[in-house]
Amino acid sequence: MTDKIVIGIPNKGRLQEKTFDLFLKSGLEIVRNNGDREYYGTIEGVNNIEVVFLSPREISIELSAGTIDIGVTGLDLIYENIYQADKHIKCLAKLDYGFADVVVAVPISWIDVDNIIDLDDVAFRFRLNNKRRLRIATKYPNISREFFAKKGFADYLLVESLGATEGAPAYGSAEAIIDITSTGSTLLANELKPLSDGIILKSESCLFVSLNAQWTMNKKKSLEELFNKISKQINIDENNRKDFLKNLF
Amino acid sequence: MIKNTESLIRINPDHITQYFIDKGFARAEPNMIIPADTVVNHMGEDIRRRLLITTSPDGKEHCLRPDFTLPLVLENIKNSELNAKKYVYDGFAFRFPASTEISRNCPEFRQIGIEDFGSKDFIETEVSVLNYTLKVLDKVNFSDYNVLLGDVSIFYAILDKINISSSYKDRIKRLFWRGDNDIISNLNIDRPKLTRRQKKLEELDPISKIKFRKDYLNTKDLISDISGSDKLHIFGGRDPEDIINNYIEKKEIIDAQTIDKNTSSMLSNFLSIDCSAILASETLTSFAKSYNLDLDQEIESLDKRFKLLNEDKPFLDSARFQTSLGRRVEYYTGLIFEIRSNKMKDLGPIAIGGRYDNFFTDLGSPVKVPAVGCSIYIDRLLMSGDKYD
Repeated sequence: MTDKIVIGIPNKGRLQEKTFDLFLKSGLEIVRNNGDREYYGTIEGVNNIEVVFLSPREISIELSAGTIDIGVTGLDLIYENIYQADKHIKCLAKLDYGFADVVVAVPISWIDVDNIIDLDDVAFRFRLNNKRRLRIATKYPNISREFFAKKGFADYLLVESLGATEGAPAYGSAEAIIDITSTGSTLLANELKPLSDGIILKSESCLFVSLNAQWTMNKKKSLEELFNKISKQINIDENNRKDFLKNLF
Repeated sequence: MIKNTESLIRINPDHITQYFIDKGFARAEPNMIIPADTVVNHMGEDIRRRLLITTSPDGKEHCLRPDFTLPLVLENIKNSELNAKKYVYDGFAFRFPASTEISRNCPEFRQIGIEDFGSKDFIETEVSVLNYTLKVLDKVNFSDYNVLLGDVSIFYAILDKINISSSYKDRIKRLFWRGDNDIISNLNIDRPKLTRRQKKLEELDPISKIKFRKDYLNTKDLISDISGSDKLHIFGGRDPEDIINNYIEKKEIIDAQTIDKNTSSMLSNFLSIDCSAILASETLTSFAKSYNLDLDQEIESLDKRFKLLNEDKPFLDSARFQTSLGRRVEYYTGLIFEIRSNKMKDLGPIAIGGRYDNFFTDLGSPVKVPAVGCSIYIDRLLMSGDKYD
């Protein structure tokens, strides 16, 4: 079995750029050996780390399975895709980018709905009037269900959406949505507003460690080296850093 | 070991089915597999994680039946000539057990039950369904139970008679069904503070002004205006008129802050009624009197049913009447009963039943079909039968 750490890095987009930047600033240049289509990479001058390029969602799933040791992805995907995530994954560091909230949003025209209690009122009437439940489109069925259960809200039906969730109320495939938003401009463009107490999760990009991967002594050592380099670039206080590594496994 | 076998022989579930057949119920074999979205739409998103779901090649979700009433009603809606029917079913239903369930840890559980669809004789039907259930338990020599009785139609009658806004009534119903312990304090929830922009709008648009403008402005324009947006196009499947009315009602609730003390104490006193069933009509009469409510019709009907129930097999003096019974199961519309083990208090109800007249229309039936039914949970019955020995 290999003694190298396998790290999952986002395979495209802004998240990839930011991750490349952060690693570069930490003195770790990520190299794609054969151009953009290559799924494997290395870090210049470091031979105990292997890089794999995956979609952020895949990174969350592979971390949970333990097929990669560490990875950069969003908190939202970790909690959505992994049942009882805290048992399988640990967040090693918040990376100060990829900020976004998973929120419940309804049409702006619903002037009678400002919060979950209002939504509950409307959803209840909706069901009595329409003989079906109010539909909420989302890519986050698991954390949504958990959130609503905690709030005691039950009069809804989740519609799993794969593409542009924000458009669902406009073309009538759902009445409300749960989606990720950073500036709120996409919501606004689709005549949607977030509920005042509808923030399900404050997400950001993090470096996660899989507790299900095989952690040999050598790999732990490599992880410590890697983490020390990266943590100089982000805000982590010294004590926290030491404790974190000590308590990690 | 021997004892266990004896009790299993003593309580033979097959005798239950046979008893109902002898009483004129036709054996029904409802579909084992039904569309999952129908179930979730009817029972709520929370039920989804307890369902046994699979996906067909065309991408549609199907599940094993979580109970018998749902597939039976669906089949009866399809074949409307079936409507006036008495059924008995006996088989397995499927739900992952709740964490509180102690009689099983597997998803399948046997249920035997009866349904009486389409009978116009309301009182007689309710009485006979409960009577058959009690008698069949006698038949299999199980007697260590207590009976809880309730009637949600009284609660709805009270809501009809009191003078509060319809959105308040809806909220009360909702809290009733959710089983919230303290309906009244939940009614007056501290609402989040208004943002500065909302406040400004509030000042600009006092209710009376909105009401006034409502008569002159197009509703959609008025909504756009109140929300501070340009012309809005998306109304999320709701009638703009309904949005504006609900908005006005809500503002009025916020203004009124609380419902009046008399009404709230009346509701909480009503919901705490828990007395011997033999004293039910007496208790309700004095309750109605003290709040000046006219419940004569409801009490008379309850009295009539209870007297009939007691005629065949006197049990009312040991049964309890609870006004809060049937909360959490919102499809009940009239009589509700639960039969519980005396010895095993943690065990869920051994049998549960009542009237659910909206079930057919909720599932898309064009005509209202009165329905009364009862389900016996065989695993619980056997378990408490064991302990009883």
